Amino acid sequence: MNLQRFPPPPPRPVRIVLFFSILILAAGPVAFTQTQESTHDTPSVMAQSEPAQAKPIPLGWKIAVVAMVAMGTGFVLAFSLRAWRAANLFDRQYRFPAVTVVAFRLGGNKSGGCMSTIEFGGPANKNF
Amino acid sequence: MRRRLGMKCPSCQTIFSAPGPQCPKCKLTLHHLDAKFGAVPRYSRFVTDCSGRLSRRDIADLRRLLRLFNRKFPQSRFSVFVTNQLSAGTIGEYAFWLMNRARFGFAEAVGGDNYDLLLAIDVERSAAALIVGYGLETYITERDLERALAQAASGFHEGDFARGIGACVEVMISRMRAIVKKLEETKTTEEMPTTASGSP
Repeated sequence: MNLQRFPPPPPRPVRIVLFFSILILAAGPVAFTQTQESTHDTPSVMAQSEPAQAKPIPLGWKIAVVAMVAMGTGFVLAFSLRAWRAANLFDRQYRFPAVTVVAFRLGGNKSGGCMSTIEFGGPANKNF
Repeated sequence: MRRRLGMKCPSCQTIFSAPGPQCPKCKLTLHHLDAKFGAVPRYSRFVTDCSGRLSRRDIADLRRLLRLFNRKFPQSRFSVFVTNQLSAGTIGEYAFWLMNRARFGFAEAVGGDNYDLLLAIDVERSAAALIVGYGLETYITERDLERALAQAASGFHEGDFARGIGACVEVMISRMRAIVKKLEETKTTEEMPTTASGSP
């Protein structure tokens, strides 16, 4: 084996400089990024002149807001209930069993004249 | 055992036991009524008011109620026809003729498939008729129809037709719901012993 073909290793100071240059390049971005702690703003003159505590909301306003919200909710619920009732959402469907024997009569193919009649002209006079 | 609606002539009220093409007493047929009433009047879905006694709001409210009825009972359609132009015949004859000649419900609903109801009101003569299709004859009794009309009577009598119609529809909804529930309970009771004996 001919050891003359491989170059000799660099001297020790060169390796140290190379190491430090890689370390600096790699750590550079981290060093320049912003940290989580922000700088504190100095309060302005206007802010310093305002009172420390805000004025409380009057009780009447609070009651009015609560009443309006309650009324709005009530209206929404009322309309929803009406719509739900009209859509038959909370009730099931009812089906009659099929009828096999039909007594056709008087020439009618939909109804044979099974009915009840009433006369309401006088005092609710029924005529069955 | 439910009492089946009696076969009664819509004209002379004669009760007949066997079905026939005409009334055994007055010889009434649907063709005779065609000649009496002429062409089928114009009608709308659910509610038709030829008398002008119902306001637009009343009609809208009644349509909503009848649409709800149709959702609860998908086989059935409840229609209301209010008229003041009944020149000849009785309200019973007119209701029978209109029920068969007009197409209030589904076109294919004939014979036992017809579960429709029609409430016909003659405001001039102060008379009303509630008629059912062949499909409901087996389940609805004459008393059910009487009750529904009796509930409507006070509204009709006071001229508040919308209230009367609403009351009539509500009674029928309640009654028909009860009938279907009872039929289902009976069916379940009949099926239970079979299931119990079939299980190991």
